[in-house]
Amino acid sequence: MRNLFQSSIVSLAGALVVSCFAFAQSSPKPNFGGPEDLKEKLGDTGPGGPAPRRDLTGFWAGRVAAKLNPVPAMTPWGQEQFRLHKSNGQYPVADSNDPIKGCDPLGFPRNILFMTRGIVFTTMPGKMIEMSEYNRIWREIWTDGRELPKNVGGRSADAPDPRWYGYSIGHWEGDYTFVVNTVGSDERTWLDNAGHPHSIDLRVEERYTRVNHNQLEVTVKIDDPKTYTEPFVITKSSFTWIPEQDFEEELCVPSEQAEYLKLIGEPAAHSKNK
Amino acid sequence: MLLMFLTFLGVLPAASVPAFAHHGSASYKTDKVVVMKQATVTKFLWANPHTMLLFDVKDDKGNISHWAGEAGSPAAVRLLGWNKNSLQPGDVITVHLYPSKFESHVGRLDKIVLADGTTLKDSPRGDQGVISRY
Repeated sequence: MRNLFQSSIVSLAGALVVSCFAFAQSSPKPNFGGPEDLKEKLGDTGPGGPAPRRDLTGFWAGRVAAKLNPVPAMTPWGQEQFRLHKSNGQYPVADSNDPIKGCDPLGFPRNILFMTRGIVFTTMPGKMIEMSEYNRIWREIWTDGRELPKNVGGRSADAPDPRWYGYSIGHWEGDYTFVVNTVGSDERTWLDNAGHPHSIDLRVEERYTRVNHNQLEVTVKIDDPKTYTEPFVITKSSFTWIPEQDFEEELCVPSEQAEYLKLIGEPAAHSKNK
Repeated sequence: MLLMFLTFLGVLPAASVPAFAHHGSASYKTDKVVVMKQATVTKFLWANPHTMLLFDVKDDKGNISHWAGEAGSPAAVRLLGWNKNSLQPGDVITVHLYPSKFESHVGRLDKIVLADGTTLKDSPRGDQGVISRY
């Protein structure tokens, strides 16, 4: 009892000391004042109606990050790569080695799993173009009937180089589902924010289904036998038509990111900066 | 010292834990919010990928401590009512933030209350609920 009394006095004294300063402790209620994503803010406010035939053209709002399914068991090679990746979820940003720490490209397929607040589809002769609000990047998805390149990253002189955003071809299945197949993603890119790896053997299938005018659903399937013991669907996510057909500029600016690391990232992780 | 104060007061469990977009939450105590009243803005950076706020807090002895807080990207917090001119040097505000685990004067903003009572909330709802992955 005496100990309890003493500790109570100490706690009360501590509280009084705190009240002398400008600090106070509030009940921690993560305060979500509204939607971070335009998708949530929009609800279903587009023009509505049925989906147009074989047409994804337009600006679409998604969530900042797709909800991901667990990855299957990794191969020994995959486990070793994963061990080397220090994600922002596990390490302070200053200590992580996530490629985006220095504003390196997200690469494919991470760019369709994360920072997906806004995407755009448009067409050019022989190809579909998919663009991202984040970093204003694009992918060309060939629809002219060509095959995917073989032996990407191989040693032969004619072997294509790996790319941050891979090589993609697409075709329509019926009038409302556009299927994209991709190979050749650079191994330096991560699959997701947790740091799950992929190899140059990665093959990705995206299936974009336009449910109606305002709603677009996508399923992303991962097949990388060098890294994972079985193929898997990593996400099923959705996008909403943006009535204004415009969105914010969102970039990772290297100079501003360097400032961020100096002012926030480093001191948040290490030292007391008074 | 601040950690000692928090220990005195105890910590209530959070109803849910925020997941911060882009750079994660590993640096921060996501189960508590520190409130600093009469904070004076020294710099506001409308920057990508994170907006940043620098501010000073003075104790009753006149000692000033310098703080830095990060928030979501301009594209994210704009949806919550912020803009490039929301905060100016000299503004006196109340800051609610998730503090660093390492006792440095840095944190992830929860919200800011301006002198006129306007509340600017941050956008910590990054991954829709799977914090271990982000």
